[in-house]
Amino acid sequence: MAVTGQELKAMLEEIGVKPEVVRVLDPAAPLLKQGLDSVDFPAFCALVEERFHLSLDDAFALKLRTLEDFAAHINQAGGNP
Amino acid sequence: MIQPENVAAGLLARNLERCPDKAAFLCADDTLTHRALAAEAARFANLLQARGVGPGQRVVLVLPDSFAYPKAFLGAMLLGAVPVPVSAMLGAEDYAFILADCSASALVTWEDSPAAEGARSTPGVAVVLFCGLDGPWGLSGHSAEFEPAAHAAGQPGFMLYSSGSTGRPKGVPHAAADLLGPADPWGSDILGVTAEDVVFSASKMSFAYGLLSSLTLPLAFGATAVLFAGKPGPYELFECIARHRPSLFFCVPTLYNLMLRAFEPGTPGCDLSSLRLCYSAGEALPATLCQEWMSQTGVEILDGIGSTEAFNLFLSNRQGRVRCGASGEIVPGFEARLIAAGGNADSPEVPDGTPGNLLIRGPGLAQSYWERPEKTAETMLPGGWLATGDVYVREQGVFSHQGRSDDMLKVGAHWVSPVQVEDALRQHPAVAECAVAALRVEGLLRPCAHVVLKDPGQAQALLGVEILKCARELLPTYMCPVRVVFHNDLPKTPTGKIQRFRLRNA
Repeated sequence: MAVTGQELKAMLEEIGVKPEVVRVLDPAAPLLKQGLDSVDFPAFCALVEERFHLSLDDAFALKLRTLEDFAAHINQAGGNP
Repeated sequence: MIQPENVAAGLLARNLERCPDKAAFLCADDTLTHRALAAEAARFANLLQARGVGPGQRVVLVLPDSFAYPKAFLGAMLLGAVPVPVSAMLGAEDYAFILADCSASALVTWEDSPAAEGARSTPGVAVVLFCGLDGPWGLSGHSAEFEPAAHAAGQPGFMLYSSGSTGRPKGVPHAAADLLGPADPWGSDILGVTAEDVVFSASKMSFAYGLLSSLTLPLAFGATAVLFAGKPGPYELFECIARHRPSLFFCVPTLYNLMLRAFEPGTPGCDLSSLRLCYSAGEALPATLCQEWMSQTGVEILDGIGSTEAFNLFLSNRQGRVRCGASGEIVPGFEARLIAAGGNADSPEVPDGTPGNLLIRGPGLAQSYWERPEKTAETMLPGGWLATGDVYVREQGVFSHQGRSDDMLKVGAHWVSPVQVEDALRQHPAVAECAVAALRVEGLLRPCAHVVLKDPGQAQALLGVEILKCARELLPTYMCPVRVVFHNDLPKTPTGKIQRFRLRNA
């Protein structure tokens, strides 16, 4: 089943991003422009890898900028929770 | 024996002669020329002297990167006092510790900073000078003439602080002349710095890497440095580069990673056309990040490693032959030895291709830690060798970083002591035992919390969130674990000591 933006938003809260930041997050806009910092990004990548049993390739992971990028990659890679 | 020349006076005089009206520093919309810097540093020395500060006394600097920084640093040096740059990101308790540890006579900081609070609880800090970005109030009332003091032989000329394995920072005193070490040959031959260069360092002047990039290089070559007062994120860095058009950019892998993620080629906000070279230090630059940076930006990036103890880079890549994923070759003037674990300075070297602990020797190394004889004996070895604590493999003269020989983590170019993070994690009532070890994410190391719960039946997903949040409230950002992994037991030695290295997932 395809992962949704809502699920990914819930995961952002899991890594400690403030709910008020997550609530107004635009899934199509770069996460770094919306209040995520140098700890949030690796924490989110680590959780995505763990939750969906994926291994994010280092070079490819650099291209994941928005929540939609993450969702598309997880769905394409067939990541299963 | 007295050294013939005050190092700060020598640097200032040289630039006053060759390029007085050229910008020494740029900060936001403002320019500080070499002439103005010389005058202001002299005024600063006069101000400190008028307030009773004398040669040999420690002057702690807790400031944003701004004009006040070089003025205060060089002013203290002119006086023969010992400037002690300290990170502006610490808490009041940490400042109180450092002020007491180095028996500081003076503190230069901004009003209502946590350092000022720390000074209030530290007897002996007789002088607290409050600064704006331009310097302390009342500076212009002092004379721009100052007779520089000679540096006393064997005494520190400046001192930096480096995080210790117990979480308490240790002072790393350097001779005044060590300030010039990075200029030659690293600056001159490896970077090819000239007076035409404009340098910009994302690393702050309170760190060795920031101080040698933002102070040593511009002053030694009569070049210009860009200072950025805030905590820079990727967008701020792009903006600052587009605005001031530096030719040399010094940054750390964590920020290069974020910059690539924010990079939009061809847009005015991401104009890197002024850059001729990028440098990376502070933590190992992952091979992928190195390759991606060069292919996406078209700017060469050199990885290297130095340390606070060296106040220099001792391994470095070279222009035109970058080896992504490696720290490069030895910087001329330094010698390196790789020895097996448990060895000493006399042990034979491990063969090529075998990991060994890196020892270095060369000019400008700190001779001791400040009042830490035991730590000094562990690190500053007989024969002038310095134990770096880094494990390397050497192949045909090229060194590749393999990790640390101790439990320390280098995260975002900051030292992280697992002990300090574990202390914070234990504040959570559900945590029975914990250990912190490195987790590799996108090629970079991050702290990972390994936790044993008091009640193993508790809902782990929810607790993981709570534990991370708890840590975030107690720790600086870079120390915060990015993930919590739950265990029934932690690996231990027969004597019960937790084996953090078994938890590393590098």
